[in-house]
Amino acid sequence: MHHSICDFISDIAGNAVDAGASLIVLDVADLQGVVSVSIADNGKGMDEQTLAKAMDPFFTDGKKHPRRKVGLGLPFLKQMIEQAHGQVDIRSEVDLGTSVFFQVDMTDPDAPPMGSMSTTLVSLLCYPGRHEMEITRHQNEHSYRVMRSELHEALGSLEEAASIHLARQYIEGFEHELCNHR
Amino acid sequence: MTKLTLEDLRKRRDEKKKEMQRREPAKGSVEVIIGMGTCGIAAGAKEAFDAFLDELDKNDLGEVVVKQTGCMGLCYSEPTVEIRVPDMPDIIYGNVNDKVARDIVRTHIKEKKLVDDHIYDKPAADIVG
Repeated sequence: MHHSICDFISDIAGNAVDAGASLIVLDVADLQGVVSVSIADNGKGMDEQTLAKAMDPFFTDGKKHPRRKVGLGLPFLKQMIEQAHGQVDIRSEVDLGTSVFFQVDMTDPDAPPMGSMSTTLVSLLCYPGRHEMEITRHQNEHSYRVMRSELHEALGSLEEAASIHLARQYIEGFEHELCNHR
Repeated sequence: MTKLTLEDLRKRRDEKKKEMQRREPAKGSVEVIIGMGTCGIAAGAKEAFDAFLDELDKNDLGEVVVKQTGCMGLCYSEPTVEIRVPDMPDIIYGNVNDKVARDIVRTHIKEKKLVDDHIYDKPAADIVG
């Protein structure tokens, strides 16, 4: 089971990359202690039947790991949302993509901790691939936005340790400023 | 904390490039490949990712390539990390927490010696088969 909200973000956004999306849009908002996360992609999507099965921990489409019998990302999310009395909404259409939205009131005693947002966003932005990723973060009325392509252009590489380290400093600067507006 | 702009990033990146070019060029690239599947994330792969970045920076190893991949099939020993160093066998390390990640940078990548007690075999057959 995942430890933090950020772990769920990593897992679901990772699914979007694996789904062959060319565009992934991630929005994470903390408004008066209620955290809302939206992850939308234009990847291969799922039909209604597959989507229903995706909530079953003993189901996988068998494409990523041909002989595997489990897929735990979305079931973990469902479990966390149920225990923390949150909300989740997953929509998907074949060849159009998938969008996952979830919301958790962080004052709920069973809500997981937020986790490290800087590490999570840097790890997602530097995940291999040619996709575009647009990330928007909101903290009450303050926000910032990062595009993967802009970061890639500025750093030349998103795989060398020195570049990733600079990307982390860049994101940490924004996150530090958002923290001051809590 | 200073907030950086994209222009700051470009400048700092150019400075780092020049600094790395001044040093003796490495024979091929060193790669750190971190398993970032559901199992890896749940077991703390992002903490390992952070520790690798931090320790590589401390040891002036900015040219090392840090990649992320899905599950390597060793869910029982997550976080798992594969290390590829020229003239050394490719090694998969398991149970890589913050301390082990730093040890891998200092011992395996810098000193070219293996880190005991964390070496695992190639990905499980259900993943590569």
